[in-house]
Amino acid sequence: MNANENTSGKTVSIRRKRISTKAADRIFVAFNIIFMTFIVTVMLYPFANTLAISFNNATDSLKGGIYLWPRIFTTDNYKNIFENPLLLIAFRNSVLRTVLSTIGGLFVCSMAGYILSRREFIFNKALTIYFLLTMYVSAGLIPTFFLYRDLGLFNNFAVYVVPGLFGAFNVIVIRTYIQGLPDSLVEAARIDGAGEFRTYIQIVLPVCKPVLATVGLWIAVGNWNDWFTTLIYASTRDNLTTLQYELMKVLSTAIAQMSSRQAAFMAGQAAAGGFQNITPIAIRSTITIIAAVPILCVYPFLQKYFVKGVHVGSVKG
Amino acid sequence: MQTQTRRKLLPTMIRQRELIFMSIPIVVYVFIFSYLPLRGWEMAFQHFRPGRAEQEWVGLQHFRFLFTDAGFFRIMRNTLAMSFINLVLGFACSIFLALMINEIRKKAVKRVVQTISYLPHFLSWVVACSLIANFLAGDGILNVLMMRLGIIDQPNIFLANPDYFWWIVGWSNVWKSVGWNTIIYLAAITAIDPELYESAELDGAGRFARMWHITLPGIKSTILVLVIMNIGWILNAGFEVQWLLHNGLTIDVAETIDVFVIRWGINMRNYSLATALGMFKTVVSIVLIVGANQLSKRFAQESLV
Amino acid sequence: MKKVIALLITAVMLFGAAACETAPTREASGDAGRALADKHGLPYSGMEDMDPIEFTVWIRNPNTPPRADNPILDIIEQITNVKINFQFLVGEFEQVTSVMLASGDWADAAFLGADGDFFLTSGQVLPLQDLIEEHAPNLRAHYDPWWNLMHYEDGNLYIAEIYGTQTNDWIEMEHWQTAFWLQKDVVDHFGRAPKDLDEYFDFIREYMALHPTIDGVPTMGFEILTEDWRRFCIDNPPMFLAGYPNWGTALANEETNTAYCRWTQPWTKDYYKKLNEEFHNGLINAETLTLTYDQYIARIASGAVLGIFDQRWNFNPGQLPLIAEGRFERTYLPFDLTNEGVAPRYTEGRPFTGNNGLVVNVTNPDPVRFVMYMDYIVREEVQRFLEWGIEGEHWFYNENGRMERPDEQRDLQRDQRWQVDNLGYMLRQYMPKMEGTYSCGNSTTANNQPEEYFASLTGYDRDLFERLGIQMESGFMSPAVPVPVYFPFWSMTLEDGSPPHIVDQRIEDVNVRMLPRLVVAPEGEFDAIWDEYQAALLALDRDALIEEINRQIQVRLSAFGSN
Repeated sequence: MNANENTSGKTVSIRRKRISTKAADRIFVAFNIIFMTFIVTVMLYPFANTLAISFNNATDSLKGGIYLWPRIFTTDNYKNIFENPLLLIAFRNSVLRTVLSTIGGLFVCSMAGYILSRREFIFNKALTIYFLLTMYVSAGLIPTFFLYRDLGLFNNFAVYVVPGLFGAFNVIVIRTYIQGLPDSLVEAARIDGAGEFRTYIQIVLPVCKPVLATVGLWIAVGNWNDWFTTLIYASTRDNLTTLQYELMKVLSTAIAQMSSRQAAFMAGQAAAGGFQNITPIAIRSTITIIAAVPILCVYPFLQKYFVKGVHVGSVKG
Repeated sequence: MQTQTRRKLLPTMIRQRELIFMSIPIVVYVFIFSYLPLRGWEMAFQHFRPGRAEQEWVGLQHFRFLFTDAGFFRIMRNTLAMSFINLVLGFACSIFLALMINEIRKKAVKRVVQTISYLPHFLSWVVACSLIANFLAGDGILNVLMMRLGIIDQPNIFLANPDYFWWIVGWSNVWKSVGWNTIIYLAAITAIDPELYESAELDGAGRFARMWHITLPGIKSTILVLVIMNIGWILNAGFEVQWLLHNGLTIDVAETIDVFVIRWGINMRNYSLATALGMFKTVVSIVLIVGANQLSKRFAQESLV
Repeated sequence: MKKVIALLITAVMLFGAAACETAPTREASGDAGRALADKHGLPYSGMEDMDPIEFTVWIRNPNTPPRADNPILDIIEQITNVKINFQFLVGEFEQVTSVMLASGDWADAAFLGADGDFFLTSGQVLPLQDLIEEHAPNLRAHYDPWWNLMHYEDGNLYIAEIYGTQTNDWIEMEHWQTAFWLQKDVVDHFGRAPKDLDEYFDFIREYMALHPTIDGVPTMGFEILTEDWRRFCIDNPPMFLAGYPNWGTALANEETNTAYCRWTQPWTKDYYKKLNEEFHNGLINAETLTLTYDQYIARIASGAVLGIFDQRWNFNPGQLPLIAEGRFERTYLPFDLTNEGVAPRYTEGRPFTGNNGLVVNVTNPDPVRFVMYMDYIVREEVQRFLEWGIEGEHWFYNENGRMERPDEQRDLQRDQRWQVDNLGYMLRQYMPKMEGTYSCGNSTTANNQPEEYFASLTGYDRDLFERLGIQMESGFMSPAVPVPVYFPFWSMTLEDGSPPHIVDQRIEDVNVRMLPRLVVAPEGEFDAIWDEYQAALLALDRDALIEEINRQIQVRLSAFGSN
């Protein structure tokens, strides 16, 4: 009797709680929808605006006031850039360096991350500090330049890949992820007699997909967007140029020709009332789109590793 | 005592030889690419001029120039203030956004929202700042909106007012990087055991409660690690956004250490001064992460090292 | 993931196939070269029978090289057997040049400009005086008036100057330098030029009252750009109003040949006081002090800005959309306003700076050949060929013996890119050149040839100029007054990080924050802020800077005196 009463009382309270929970959930969902609409608007607008300007007449864009749609539609801005005969080589190099750096970087960083995640490793602390410090020291441009040159990286494609494989930030992020995995995972491998390297390759790497996807994206985007390396180490070799460097060249030319101290010297030469079909504002927008689109296409492929996740629970069972 | 440690050390090393072998190439690599060029720090004590075989040694002259500069205190204040605002706003907003994105149930919507949220990351600061300047202009959307709502009766020239500057920089940073910064949290969330959610749901926990009690603690260590690492960068308040948005009326609150490096170091080809400043930043960074690490160890029972 | 990688690798390999091809090298054929020279009325280079050689020349500005099939450059290449490959600046000048110098691994020659003097003492730059004396008679003659000035303090001549070597008269149809600019419709409304600064602002005020909006945009009276190095729009007006040319941070007393600081002068105060008044009168909005360059250009392009103080090359992009839309009345005319009793010196001609030229790397494989090449390029026939093109195709002599372009060429040459791709502009721009007029009196710059200028005028401009009683855009500007040999100070090199350099930078810092504050000073507080400004200047060791400038004045004077 007593027990019965208790049970029914409990059911009622749970039901009541469920109802209120449901109401709260509905408010929560509504709020989230509004919030996401806001985020999407605020984040999409600048890109849409850039896209509109990239398809607008370059001279007309100087007036400003273009929002979501071009005022005078044209594809000249793209034509101007695609005319560059080096663009194909540049694109190839950018893709190549991005792919190689990402694969190599992921390998190095994940291995370092795995090593640091082994708490029992006697050099764990020393190594962590050794790696971590690299984030906060910087030698500056000129000493770095001398090192790379002495290593034969000057005017060598390897300069795009070799120096940048290690990233302490990435290592720590991967380490943290691995440490968040249940200990049973590695223990199970140990019982099977797997060594460290095999554990790392066969057990840990596969379940690290989400964090590897993240770090991979960071490395890829960093490499894809880098033009400074080309500038300093490979700018005299046309066959080593990269997409971002070529785009940067177009942009700085546009800025210089538009109006600069150089223009002061050329003053007498500028055509009277000449029409400018290249303006910095148009070039900037166009190259933003050209540079961003390829790398944006990669992310949706990576995203599935986030959504699927890794059901670590299966290992436990 | 010493012999004891040594006796213990050797067998451990033998036992862990595989880890040691895995470490060696990375240690060597890091040494070459990160530590070897630090020989260049000697430049801080020289009057370095590129292209010369012999450099003139000047002792601590560059450090003295730095610390006796009348503007140094102001620049430090600006750097710390903007960094602090960036740190707090940046972490709060990106964690919040990650949690909210994670709560989107429809996979397709989730992917689309996430992708859109990090689009501003791909804009250069020049493009971004021109949009920000237009947004804040006298005839910009913000002023029009505020006037319509009757908050103000004549346009407020936000960029001419030093009081707003730090916040403009802070929110600009949030806008540009919040989506990009959620990626790591969304990755971390995938490692949370789904069973935790299931049992919480059975206990009648609502979505907000689950987010608060399961998701957030689940990514706690990731957050802490990122916070500690970022604290080490507190003197890197950036320069692009400040440089692009500042003007004569706001320059007193806009100049950061990085702006200082560019103006007095790079633009004047004074690599020695730039190096001296780099060393100073390194020292500050190390002090800060050690401090942050200790605090984290004490109060969150977690640490970076 | 694997699929993605596989896809990417396939793509990479596909692109790899389409990679680089090498350009075919030309063989020297002396007779063909001489025949070409004869055909186009060009002199022989004396290099027709030499082996072909390529030089890379690094240029301190970003630019795009001309198309490979440029006919004019091709002819020059066949006559000289020299091919010039230009490499242009990308990124920051200071960083790139530091790395170039540190490594010693840079092009065969370089145009470094006024900021590149630190190369000269590095031992990486080849002295040219003997080479020019021996192998380059034309170049030697071209440089003759400045020959002694061109020598560096150590007695060597390192820089083959490419600008400011003015030959004969200088013609200027359009004013591209500094002025107070007023919208043409404002000038048209009053039918005359403003006589001084007060009247300039009166014109703006009255016109603004009549036209509170222009084509729907609220009228903006006077805009001031203060962004970064374009700050000369706020810095320079007092100097010009007081009758000085564009000296720089200090001014020269030309009687005593000494420099003095310009920021503490009473007329400097007068100008900012005037701006402050007009700020309170509503002619100047505080927002103008926050504008980025793009925003400033957009405002000009809106057609609603009545007045600016600027250099034409700086704001000209803003006029382009106005011209494209046919709103010619919203473009600008220049005025050289001065304070009472002072003669204007806004027009500069072509000052010789002595450090805007090519330097030759000691690693250059054949410096003699390079000097011979420059010697050929600077010859009058070659100069005309590069600038004007082929006679009968790009230009012709009219009945008066003047050079003119046919109409279809005028249309084509409105496009600057076309000029670069089809004429010898690029080579002319970055090599020693004639500036001014040829011995026959035609202009060395086709666009400055009066016939060409008048042919390019729009109907609106023609009518307006007639109503105002002027011939051309620069009609209200006074002609150039000769400047001393040590002009200008802004191109003097201060050693990086030396005390004068630091003071120079600090003066700039003070100006950056104080001048805008003077403009927007609340009523009654102007004098207090002015005092604060002066105190900040006085705290600096300005004498260090002035002394260094005085020293360099003497160096230039003694070099020139010994000429």
